[in-house]
Amino acid sequence: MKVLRHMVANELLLAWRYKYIHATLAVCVVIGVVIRFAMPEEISLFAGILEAAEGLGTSNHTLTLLQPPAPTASLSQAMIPAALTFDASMFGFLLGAAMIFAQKADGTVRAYRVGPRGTLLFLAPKVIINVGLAWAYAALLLVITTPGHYPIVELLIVLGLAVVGFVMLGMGLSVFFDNLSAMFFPLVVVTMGLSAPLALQVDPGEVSAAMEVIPTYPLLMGLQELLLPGTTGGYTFGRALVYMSPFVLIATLFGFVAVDRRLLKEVA
Amino acid sequence: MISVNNLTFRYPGADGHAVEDISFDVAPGTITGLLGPSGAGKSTIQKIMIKLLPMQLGEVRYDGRELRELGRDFFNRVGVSFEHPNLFDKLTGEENLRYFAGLYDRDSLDAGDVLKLVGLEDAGKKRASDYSKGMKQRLVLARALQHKPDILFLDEPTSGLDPATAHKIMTLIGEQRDRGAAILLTTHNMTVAETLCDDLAILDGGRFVAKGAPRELKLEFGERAVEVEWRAEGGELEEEVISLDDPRGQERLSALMREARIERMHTREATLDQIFIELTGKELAA
Repeated sequence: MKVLRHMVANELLLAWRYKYIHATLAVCVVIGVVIRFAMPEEISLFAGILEAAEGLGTSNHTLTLLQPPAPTASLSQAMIPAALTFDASMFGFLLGAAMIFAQKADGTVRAYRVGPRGTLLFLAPKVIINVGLAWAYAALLLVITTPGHYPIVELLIVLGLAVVGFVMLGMGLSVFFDNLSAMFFPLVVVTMGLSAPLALQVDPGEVSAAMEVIPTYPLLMGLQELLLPGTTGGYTFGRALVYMSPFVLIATLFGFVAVDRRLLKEVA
Repeated sequence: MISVNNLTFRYPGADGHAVEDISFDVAPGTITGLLGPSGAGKSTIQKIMIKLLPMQLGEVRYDGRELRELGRDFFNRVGVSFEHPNLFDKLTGEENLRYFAGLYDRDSLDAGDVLKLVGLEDAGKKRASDYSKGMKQRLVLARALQHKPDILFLDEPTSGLDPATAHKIMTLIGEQRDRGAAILLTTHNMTVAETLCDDLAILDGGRFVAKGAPRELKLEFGERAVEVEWRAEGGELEEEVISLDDPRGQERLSALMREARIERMHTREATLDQIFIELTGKELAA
């Protein structure tokens, strides 16, 4: 425990010196200000369709609601869980990879290899720092955009769990490349894949089974349900955890094995 | 005691062995040097001994225990100084030392004291990125020493240092031997090898071509000769190298001494470089 504390403190110092903390919080402030002050309530395209539908109902048809309409989130509100998902997934993935690349570049991985500590203590502090950063990002974003009362514990759990998975995925993949530039194509593929569910915030529609498997989807829906209850059509916090867990487990296992078998050993 | 027995290693895809049938011991309180040019296999031996490369054939024992049986705890006893400095560039010298000191179960020396040992006491607050190559080299050595290891692996410890600093570092390494550490030193610097090492192993193409104390190696492989400056009958000075291995040389020297013609005479001791060339046909610094 003493060694873990020591390692976390040092990783925090490194994250500060590499300006990972500055960058994360700066992005948070920019996104928060955009959501709060520049984001429209609705996109005009949808507003036009709704107006047309209303006109249709009044002229020839009678519109009868069978149940009270579900609460809907405005576009700016819906952007908050999207921004949190973006941070946890993209920043987690990229910062995890960047931390490994930094240690590869200065050669300190090799110095660690001939020390008495193993893979777990190499990875755990980096994951902890990233989880902390994601929590700080979430707190700051909510303060800037919509200060209020939220289910804090559930938010911390869902964000923390997701960040563990994405950071481990980033660290695991980075083992096989020399630097971020060399990892460009996998980076593009992962980024595009993880971004797909975010499009639902702009254009909600029928969700395919494939979409539900993308780990950012349960994260997004879980966060939305926690922040904007009732707007997800019944998606629950528990369901989000269940759908995210396999990804987190697989990513963690992959990251651990890659670092243990390849990064912390000299490849002959 | 470190015992290496019949160590053999081949890199995957390579045609030949990187090291072949290597055996030697390193006793506590002694320095053993692996001497050889780049690519001779010095670093490969060291990497196997510190588990950076897997063991293929042979065995390495530390105090009788096989390397394969040793867990990560083993590294609490080990200090490694790499030839190429590997430091956190964004951290200061002191922060670098503290980062690694915190990984060990042993009590480490104070960062300031270790920096003083390697002559970096004024640079502790500077970031490693602002260090010169020589300063980085010394900081890496300081990191290897700070937890007072029983076993030290030093890879080219004086590489890139000015003569005065190199002398200081060599003195420091000697002090580590005096406190009882078993030290394996890899180098292609003859002065370091000759001054520091109790035992030397000369490597070429992954095999030992000679082993022994530096003095023994010189006696065994060096040419026994004297350089003589003598006055000829006409009064002019002549210079001559006389081999003592050749009976005619011994006679020639005796004659010059009998005739009291010798003005100056020096023993001509073989250097390790000459021995290496004689044994391998290659330059040591290659």
